[in-house]
Amino acid sequence: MRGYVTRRVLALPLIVIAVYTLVFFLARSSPGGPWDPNLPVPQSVIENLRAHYHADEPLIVQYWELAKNIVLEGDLGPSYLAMRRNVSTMIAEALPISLALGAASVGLALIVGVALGVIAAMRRNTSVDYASMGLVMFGISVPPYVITPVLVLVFAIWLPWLPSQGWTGLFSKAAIIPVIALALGPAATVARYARNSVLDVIRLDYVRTAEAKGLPPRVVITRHVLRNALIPIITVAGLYITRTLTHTFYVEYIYGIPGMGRLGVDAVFGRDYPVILGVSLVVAILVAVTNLLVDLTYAWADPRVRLR
Amino acid sequence: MTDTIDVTTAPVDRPLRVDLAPRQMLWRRFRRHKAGMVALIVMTVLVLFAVFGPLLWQVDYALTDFNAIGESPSADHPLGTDSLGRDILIRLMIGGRVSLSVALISQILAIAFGTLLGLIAGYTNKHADTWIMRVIDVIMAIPDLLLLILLIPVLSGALESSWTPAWAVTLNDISLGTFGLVVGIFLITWTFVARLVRGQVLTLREMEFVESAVNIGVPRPLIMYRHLLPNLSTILVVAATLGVPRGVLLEAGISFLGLGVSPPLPSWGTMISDGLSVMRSEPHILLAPAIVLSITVLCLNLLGDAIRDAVDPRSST
Repeated sequence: MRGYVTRRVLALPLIVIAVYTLVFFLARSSPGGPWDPNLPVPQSVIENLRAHYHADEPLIVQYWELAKNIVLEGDLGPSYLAMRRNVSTMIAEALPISLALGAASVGLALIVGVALGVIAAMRRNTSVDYASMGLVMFGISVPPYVITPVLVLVFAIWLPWLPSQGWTGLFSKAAIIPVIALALGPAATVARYARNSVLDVIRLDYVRTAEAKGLPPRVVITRHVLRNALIPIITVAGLYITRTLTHTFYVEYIYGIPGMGRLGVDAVFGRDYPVILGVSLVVAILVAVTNLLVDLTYAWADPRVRLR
Repeated sequence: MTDTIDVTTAPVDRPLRVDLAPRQMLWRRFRRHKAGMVALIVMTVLVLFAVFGPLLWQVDYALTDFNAIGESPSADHPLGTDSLGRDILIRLMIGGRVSLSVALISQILAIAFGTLLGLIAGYTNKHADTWIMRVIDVIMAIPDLLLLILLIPVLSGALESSWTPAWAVTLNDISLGTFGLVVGIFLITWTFVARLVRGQVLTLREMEFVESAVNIGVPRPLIMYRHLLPNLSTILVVAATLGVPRGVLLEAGISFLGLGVSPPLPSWGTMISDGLSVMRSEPHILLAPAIVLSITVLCLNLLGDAIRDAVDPRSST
C-alpha cells in the first residue's frame, strides 16, 4: 500500500509535466498572438510585444523559462488581453469561485443521486423506479449548455424568482441555477450507479440476516446496504468530478460567473494563450489529484482492494 | 425479503429457440427493450428529417431576411426565424446533418484507430504497450473539452498552412469546413476505444484458442486479424454506443463555444448560442435547437442501453 501511494504521488509531477508540454506546444502552434507575423501593427510594436512575452527567444528557451517561473514563483506570465495582469493573479481570483461552485454541485449531486438510486432500487420495477430512471436518462442526456439557459428562461425570465445571471457568493439566490445545472449530470450518473450497486448488495446473505433478525428497514439500508453499495460510487467519482470541471466552462459562461470556466472561455474567444495554458494546467492538476484521491479513498473504504 | 423471486410460481420467460441465428437472437433481445424501440423509431425519424428534410423544404439556410427577424412560427417559416431572419426549420435540418455526420465519422475513425492501437498495445511487445498507454494516460488526464479547445485552432491553422496535403484541403472543402472538427473529436476519443480493446485483448491472448493458434505457428498479424478481431465485436459495439452520443455532445459543445463549424453553416450548438442573446424576447430561437439536440442525445443513449443489453445481457446497467 505504501509503495503504491509513493508511486502514484511520484507519477503526479510526470503527468503535470506531460500536460504542460502538450499544452505549451499546442498553444504555441495555434495562429494568433504576439508571435503571429501577420499582426496589422508596425514592426516596432510587434518587436516590443514579442519582447514583453519573451516570444523573441527560441521556443525551447521559452518552454524552459516558463516552466521555471511556474515552479519557482508560481508565475504564469502576463495575459495577452489584459496585458498588465498576470495570469496567476487572474487564476487566483477565479479558482475559489469555481471550487465553491463545483464542491456544492458535487455535494448536491451525491445526496440527490444516492437518494434517488436507493429509492429506485428499493421500489425496483415499479413506477417509482421507472420514473427515477427516466429522470436519470434525462439528466445524462441534457448538456449543461441546454439546461442552464432553460433554467434561466423558466425560473428567471418567465417566473421572476431568481436572478438571470451573475455571482454574489455561494450562499445567495444567484447560486441556485448554476449549482443545479452543474449537479444534474453527475446526480444522474451517481443515481444510476447507486441503483445498480444497491441491487447487487441487497441480495447478499448478510443483508438477509440483518432483515431476519428484525432490524427496521431504515437501519438495514443505512447500516448494511449503503456501506457497501457506496464503494462503486467512489470509484466513479473521478469521472463525474472531471465532468463537473468541464461543465463549469459552459455554466459559468452562460450565467456570467467570474470563475475558471468563464476565464477559460473568454481566453478561447480572445485567443489569450497564456490564460488558456494556465487554466488547462490548473484543471489538469485538479483532475490528476482528484483521480489519485479517489483511488486512495477507494482502497481505504474497501479493505478488500489490494494495491500494489 | 419481498424481492426474492419464488421459483415455483414466477412466470417463466419463453425460452429462446436455440436454432435462431445470432443476429435474430440479438434482435429479439433488443425488441424486449421498450424504451430502446421507441428511441429507435424517434432516431430514425430524426435521421430522415436531417437527410431528406432539406430536399422537401428547399430554403437557403444562409439566406438572411431583415424583414423577418426573430419571427414566431408562421406558414412561411414553420419554426420561425432567427435573429438574422434565417429560417430555423432548414437550419435545424442542416445542423442535424452536420452534428450527426461529424459524430458518426469521427467515431468510425476513433474505433478503427483505437482498435488498431489497442491490438498493438495488447498483443505486440511490451515497449509498444508502455508507450501507447502513456500517451493515452496523458490524453485522458486533460478533460476532453479542454483538449478539444486547444486542438481545434491548431488543426484549423494547419489546414491553412502551405505544407498541408491537398487531400486534406479537399476533404475540408467537401465537408464544408468540418474536417478539423472531425479530426479533433477523433483525436480525443480514440483513447477510450484503445483502452477497452487492449483490456479485452489481454484476456483473449491467454485463451486456449489463441494459444493453440500460436503453437501451430500462425503469424501474429494473422492471429490479430483472424482470432482477436472477431472477438472484439461486442466491445466495439459497446464503444460505439457510448462514443456516438459523446461525439454529438462534443460537436455541439465546441460549436456552442464558437470553435466548431464556421458560420453561416449551422450546427445545433451554434444555434443554441445564437438563441442565448435573444432568449428574453424570442425564446423559440434557443428552444428549437435545444429540444432537438436533447431528444437526439436522449435517443442515442436509450438506443445504446438497449444495444448493450442485447449484445451483452450480463452487463445490464
